[in-house]
This record gives sequence, C-alpha cells and structure tokens, in this order.
Amino acid sequence: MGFYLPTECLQKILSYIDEEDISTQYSCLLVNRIWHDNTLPILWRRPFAYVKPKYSYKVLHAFLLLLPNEVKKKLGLLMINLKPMNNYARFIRDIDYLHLVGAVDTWLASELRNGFMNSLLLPNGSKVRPDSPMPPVPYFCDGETISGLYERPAVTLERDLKEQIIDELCKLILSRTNRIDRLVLDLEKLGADYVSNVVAIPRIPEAQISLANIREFVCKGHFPKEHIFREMAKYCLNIDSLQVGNRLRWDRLRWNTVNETCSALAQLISVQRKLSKFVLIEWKIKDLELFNALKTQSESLKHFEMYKSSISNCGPLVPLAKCCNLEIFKMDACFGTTSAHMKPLTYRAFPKLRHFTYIDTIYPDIPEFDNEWDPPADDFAAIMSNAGQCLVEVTLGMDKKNYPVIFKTLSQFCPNVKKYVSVIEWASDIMHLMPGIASSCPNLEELTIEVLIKTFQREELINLVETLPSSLQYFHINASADFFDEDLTAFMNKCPPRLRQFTWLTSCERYTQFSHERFKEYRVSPVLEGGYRHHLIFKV
Amino acid sequence: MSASEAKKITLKSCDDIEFKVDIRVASRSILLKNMIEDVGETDQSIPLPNVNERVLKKVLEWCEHHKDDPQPAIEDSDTRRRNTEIDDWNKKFLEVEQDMLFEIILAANYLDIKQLLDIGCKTVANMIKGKTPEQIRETFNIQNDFTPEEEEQIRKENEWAEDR
Repeated sequence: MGFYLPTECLQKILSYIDEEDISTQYSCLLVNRIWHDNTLPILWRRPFAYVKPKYSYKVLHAFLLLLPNEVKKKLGLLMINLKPMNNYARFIRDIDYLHLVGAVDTWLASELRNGFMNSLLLPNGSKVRPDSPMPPVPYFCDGETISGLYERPAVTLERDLKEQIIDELCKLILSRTNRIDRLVLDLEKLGADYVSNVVAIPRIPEAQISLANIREFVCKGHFPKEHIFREMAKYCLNIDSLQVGNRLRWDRLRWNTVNETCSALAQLISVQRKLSKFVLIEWKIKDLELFNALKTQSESLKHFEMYKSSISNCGPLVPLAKCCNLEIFKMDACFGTTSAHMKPLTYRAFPKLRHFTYIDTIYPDIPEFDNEWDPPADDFAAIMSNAGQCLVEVTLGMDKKNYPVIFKTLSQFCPNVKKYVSVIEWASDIMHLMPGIASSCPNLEELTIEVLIKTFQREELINLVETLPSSLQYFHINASADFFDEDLTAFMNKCPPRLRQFTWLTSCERYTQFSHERFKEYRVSPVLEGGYRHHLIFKV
Repeated sequence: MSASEAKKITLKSCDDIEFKVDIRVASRSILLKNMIEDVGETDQSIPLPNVNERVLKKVLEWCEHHKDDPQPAIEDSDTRRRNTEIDDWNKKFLEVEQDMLFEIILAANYLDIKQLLDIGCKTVANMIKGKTPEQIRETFNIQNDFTPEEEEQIRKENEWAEDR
C-alpha cells in the first residue's frame, strides 16, 4: 500500500531519529524526493558536530562550493562555477568555531598534499610557498579597525589562508541561514597565541538577523571579548544559556581589558529577555556590576555557576539574592569567597533550589590559591536550610572541619537529598565524612566520590562499603581502586541491599586479574576510559 | 454510578458505527475536548469522517488506558536528543500490521492526541533506524523517484554521513 503518511507525520517520525545517528539520516535522504527534502534540515543542522573528524573536509567542501566565485578566486579555489545540489548553509542552526577550524585544518591538509597553493601569488605577483610568512595585520571588522586592541602577529601563508577560509565560511553561513540557535566561540583548546578573527563574527552584517535568536552562547578562550559582547548586546536578546570563560586574567593578562569586558558582559546580560543559565569560568570579578546585571534576570535565572573564578574584591552578593527562582547554585574553586559575600544569600530563601555545589578542594593548577582558606560553611548551611525539602542534590568539597554544620542542617531541614557528590583529596578522607553523609542523608540514592589525588586501597573500599546508607542505589568512585576477585565478592556481600550499580576505575594491569567468571557473575561491563583505565560497572 | 461515569458522548466512525464513550476518555483527543467544551454535552453523535470503526476502536482502547495521564507539556520541536523509548504497554499496543500503525498515526494526528501520535511516530522511527535506503523503501513500499544522476550527486555531497 506504500507510505501514505502526510509530510507533517513524516517530519515527526524523522525528528525521532537521534541527531547523532547521521548514518540513518543519510539513508532517509536517499529514499525519495519527499524524504530527501524533509531529512536535509535535520542532517545539515549541526554537520560538523557529528561527522567523523577525518571526513569533516567533505562537509566543508559542500560549503566551499557555495562561496561566490570572486571569493573562490581570492582563496585560490579550483571550483569556480561548481555549485552543490542544495544550499546546505541555510539549514545550519549551530556554529561551533572549533569545529570549523578542525574542518578547515583537515581540508587544507588534504589539499596541500594534492599540491594546492603551489600556484598562489601574492598581490605583487610573486610566487609563495605555504610556509611563507605573512605580515602582521590589525584585526578589523566590516571596514573598521578595532581600535588597536589587538594586532595579529606574522603568520604563514597557510595559516593566513586558513583564517580567510574560516572568515568566509562564517560570512556564508550567517548570510544563508536565517536562524542560529547556538553559537560556540570556544578557543581555549587552540592555545594562547592562536590568532583568529573571531571578534568579527557578530559584526558580520547578516549576523544581526541570523544571530538575533540564539538561545545558547558560549564564549571562552584567549581572545578579547569586549567587542563581541557589546555588538551582540545590540541584537541578541533571547539568550537562554550564557557560558563565558576568560583566560585574559590575573598575571597572564595580555590586554588590560578585564574591566571593559566585565562591563560589556554586564550589558549583554542586562538586555536579555529571559536568561535562565549563567556560567562564569576563570573570571576575576572586581565589583558588583556583573551581579547587578544578573539581578535584571532575577525572574528567569535558574542556574548560576562559577568555576575557578574570584569574587574576593566585589563585596556582598546582594544582587544575586534577588534571583529567587534559582534552582541550581554552583561554586567550584572560587577561592576567596567569604561570609561577607554570601551573607545576603542567607537572608533570602531560594524555595526552588534543588542543587547546591561548593568545592574548594585544592586545584594544583591555581598557584594563587594554594594557601589555606576557610569557606563560609555556616552561610552555605543557611542557604540549604532555606531550600529545605526542595534540595535533592548536593556536591561538597571542603576541609573536614567545615562539614559538621552542613550535615546537621541537611539532617534537620533537607530530608529529600537523593544525590550527593563528595569531592575529597585523599581516599582516606571519605572514612571521616561517610558517617556524616549517611546520617544526614537517610534517603540517599546516589553517591559519587571524586578523589583528586590518591587511589583507594582494597581495605579502604571494603571498610567504606559497610558505612554506606541502606537506601543507596548507585555508587560511583571516580578514582582508581585496586580491586581483586575476592574483593568483589566481599563487596557484594556487604553492599547495601538496594544497590543496583557500582562503578569504579581500575588500571589495565589490575583489570586483567579479574576472572571472566566473576565478570559474568556480577554482570561487569568493562568500558575503556582514557585509554589506560577500565571503568567497570555491574548491576546487583 | 459516579458523576463522571454518567457523562458520555457518542462518536460515529466514517463507516457509521457508533461508540458511546466516557467524556474523560474522549478528552484525550484535543479536537474532541475542544468540541465538547464549545458545544457542551449533547445527545447527538459526533461524526469522525476520517476514522473507521476498526481504527477508532483501537484509538479508544488507548484513550481508555491513558485517561488518567496528565496532558503532555508543550515540547520544543528542536530538542536535540529526543527520547525514543516506548513503555511496554504502548509497545505491545502498537504491535500491529503496518497499515494499522499508519492508520493509528493518521487518526492520532487528526484527533490531536499528542502522546499517541508520538509513540506511533517513535515506533516508525525505530523501524527506520540502522536501515539502508533500499531497506527503508522495501519496508514501507516506497518508490524511488530520483534519477540515477540525482541519486549519485546526493550520495556524493552527503557521503560524509555514510556509515563506514
């Protein structure tokens, strides 16, 4: 009888194909014309995110074919007058700058192998090699130099070409698509000296339309961001999730723009209609401007998170206390946080707060904060007690002496904590904390122990098992634990009655000492993690 | 007899078979719910010209089973990862011939029963997953209307997505 469902039903069916399952989408594309037309917008929504890296140059090729002939000539591309079957750029909903860089890298590597660029000429007509140096140039956008903010150092011709291609790609995508949902400008992995004209992206004329409705914006890495924030504040008013990281900080500061960048970020936050998630990474906050901006989002803000950021000079967080709809509050490695900062948050209840994280356990890569620091544990306890029954998830990593007040609060006011993550330095620390965790969270279902430095010894793990709360269903240890066949049996005999899953790490060397019979008996599934350890899971 | 049990309406299939149905059951369909709210209780049967007896019976069986479920929240159509799991009851309910499955999807679409439409579409999506274009055409008896040149170009421009 055939497939006679209307297009709207076919679209719904195709929407249930996992976005990562590009192989099935490829099959759907080739079924017939109707399936083809309805699959294209799905397959080409985020092609760089799902293509295998080695094939990303093939995605890129389709976009390069779409470039205007004059641009192709400028870039020295040998595809003049060739056009793809579809305007694939119009389906793009997601721009991740790092993906574009990766695709151009792969494409250039393959083209260079094929002798591309051998015929490239400089404007003066002289022939050049790919590794020929190109002179420094100032960043400039749309015909206007960005006020001496940053000058690109000399690069090779290959690098210059790479940046030109990325620029042209951004222009192409932003001009062909009418709506980008997610913009990720995360250059952190590209290194401190990576040069790119990423600053110019929001100033591409068509961006005012295509970026106007982005819902998620990530901006991290080693590049000046002030102009990006200022420009986007003019037309991006519907950001739902904003994640900002700034490596231009502290002693590594290369441009004195932190204050200006902070103001620009505050401006971007203030103009949003409904910001619900804000994440700040590696940022030094000098005053309350940023928090005052967040206050303008007090009704919509649900998720506040800071990681490796400092608020030591910014005073009490009074504006943040106005964000009464917060559901998630996270501070990780935010050293220098004092009671003076946190006190205003204790005067205001957060009735919807379901997740609280505070970690100040030593991070060896932050030398500025290797000294002792006492976090405001009393204030954290007050925040949790105000959240009361709503609080279901807690993550804590502090010195042992700070826990009693927290455990007392949890046991008195927060009976619904189901998930607890304990971040500790040494495996042995958990033996001190476990009785407190078990008594203060009698309904705990999931316990995760993150150990930063030391591995678990077999005796420690067996002893720990005896102290686990009886309600526990999931137990994860993110550290190496030396476990043998007989330890597994001892663990099984002592584990809480409802435990359904236990995961831990073990070295390959230890892994080989488990018998297959034991794996079978406890339904152990080995998973390779990081290439040198096996993550084992079993269900009881 | 409780008050809610007393409130019934009559639905008439396109092949003129009448079904007396609890209003709560019929209200799983947003189309019927709105209709009942607009015209109020009526003794007249509501004609459903797009649904035959066999399919309507099946759809009402689903509505009866799910009459106490909360109405689904409005979902963002662009949600990146969509849940394709189907619970055991619904999975068994949809273990039907392909024609019947399509008829149920069409009826759910016409009657605006979002959850039934969703599980119907998920079921078809699960039938598609992992198949080649040829297998999909064969499964649903679909005619390939591409010219060989078109098909070749589509393959070439999208070969990055092909599983290798």
